[in-house]
Amino acid sequence: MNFVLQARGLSRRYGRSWALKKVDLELSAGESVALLGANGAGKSTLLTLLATLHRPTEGQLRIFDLDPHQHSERIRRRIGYVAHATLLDDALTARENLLYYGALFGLAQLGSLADQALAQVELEHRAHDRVGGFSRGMRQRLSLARALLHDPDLLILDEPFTGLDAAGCRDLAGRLRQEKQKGRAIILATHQLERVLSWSDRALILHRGRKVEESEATTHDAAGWAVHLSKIAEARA
Amino acid sequence: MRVFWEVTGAVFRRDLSAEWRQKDVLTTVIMFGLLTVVTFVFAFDPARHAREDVVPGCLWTAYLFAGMLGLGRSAARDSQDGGTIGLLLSPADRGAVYLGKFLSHSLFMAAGEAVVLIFSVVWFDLDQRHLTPWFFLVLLLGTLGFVAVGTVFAVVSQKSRLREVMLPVLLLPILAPMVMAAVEATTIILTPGGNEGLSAWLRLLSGFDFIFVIAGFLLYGFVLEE
Repeated sequence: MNFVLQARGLSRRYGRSWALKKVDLELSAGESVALLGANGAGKSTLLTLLATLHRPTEGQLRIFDLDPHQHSERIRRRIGYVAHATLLDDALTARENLLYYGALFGLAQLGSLADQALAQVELEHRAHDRVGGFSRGMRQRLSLARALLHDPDLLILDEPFTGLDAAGCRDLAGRLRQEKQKGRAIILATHQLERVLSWSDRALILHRGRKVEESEATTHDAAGWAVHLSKIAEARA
Repeated sequence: MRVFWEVTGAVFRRDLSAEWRQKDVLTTVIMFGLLTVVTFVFAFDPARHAREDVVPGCLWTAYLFAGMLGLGRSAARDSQDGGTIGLLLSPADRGAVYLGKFLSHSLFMAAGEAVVLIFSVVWFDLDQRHLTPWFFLVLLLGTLGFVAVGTVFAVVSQKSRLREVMLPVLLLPILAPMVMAAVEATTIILTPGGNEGLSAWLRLLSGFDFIFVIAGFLLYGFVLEE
C-alpha cells in the first residue's frame, strides 16, 4: 500500500493536558478521511501535527514515508493546508498573495500558475483587488487556491466550511470532491457532516484527544452520524 | 541559489507593498520618533545645552524606541490571519526570509530616521559641520545592528502574551553594546575638534552588526518554528 501518511500512537501535550492521545491513522493517495468530534476533541491538534506545524510529544509519524523532523522541507512541498485563518495578507491583492506564496515554494512560471489558480476558484475578476475587501467566502476560495497552488499530494483542511453560506459550502464541497478524484489524499475536520460524508471514504471520531472510532463514511447518513456522535459524547461524559 | 534570492525578493516586495498601502510601521516610527525629539527639545533647551550633550541621546532614544514599536507592528502584521503559519508551511529557506525582512525593516527604519533627523536638524540647529559622512555611517551601522537583532526578537515577542512589553525587555540588554557605541560615536562626531576615538566605536558597531546579522540569519528559522 502506498501510504501518504502513517501515524502510530500520535500524542501531543500542551503543558499538563493531553490534547491528543495515542491516535493511529493511515491515509493513502486518493483517499479522504473526515475527522469528526466535538470542539476540543483534538481535531485541529491532529491536523497541525500532520501539517508539520507542531511536533508530536509521543508517537511515530511518517508522511510520504519520510520523518517530518528530518525532512520537513520535502514534506511541506507536498502538503496544502487550509485553516480557520486564511493565511492571506489583507494588504495584498488576491494575485499578489498567490505570487508571494508561490515564490516561497520556489515555483516556476508563477504568473500563469497564479492566474490559473484564480480562474479555478472563480476569482479572476477580483485578481487585482485587495483581500481586505473580500467576503469570507471569497477569502476561503482564495485560501484553497493558495493551498493548491503548488499541486500538493496531501490536502489538510481544518473547518473549511466555517463562515461560508450554503452556496459557498456546496461549491467548496464540489471542489474538494474534484481534488480527491485527481488523486489527492484529503483529511479534513468539520462539523458540517452533510458536506463531506458523500465523498469521504472514512470517518474518524475523536473524543477528548482519543480516537474512539474509525469506520466507513457511508455507515450513517449525516443525521445518523450526528446522533452517533451525541451518543458517544454522552457515553463518555 | 536562485530560489533563495527569489524568496528574499518576495518577502521584501511583500513587506514593501503592504507598508506602502497601510503605512503601519513608518507612521509608528515617525510619530513616536518625533514625539521623543519634541520631548527632549522641551526638556533640554537647545539654547542652554551643548548639542553634543543632548542630541546623541535624543536621537538614539527616539530611533530605538520608535524602532521597537515599528518592528512590533511589523511582526503583528505578519502574524495577522495566520500569516506566520503560511510562512511556516512553506519549504522556503528561513535564512532567505530573514534576509528579506532584514532589508525591508532596514528600509523602513532608514525612512523613519530620515524624517526624524530632518526635524532634529531644525530643532537642534544642526548644520553640515555636524552631518558629516561619519555621522551617517554611525547611523547606518547602528540601524543595521538594531534591525538585525530586532527582526528576530520581534518574532519571539509575538509568541508571548505580553508581546508589547516583551520586545524591549528582550531587546535592550542585547542592544546595550550597540547603543553605547552609537551614542558615543555620535557624541564624538558632534563635538567640535576632531574625531578622536571614533574608529574604536565604529569597529565595535561593525563587529556587532556582523555577528548579529549572521546570528539572525542562522537562528530565524529556529525562532519561527519553535
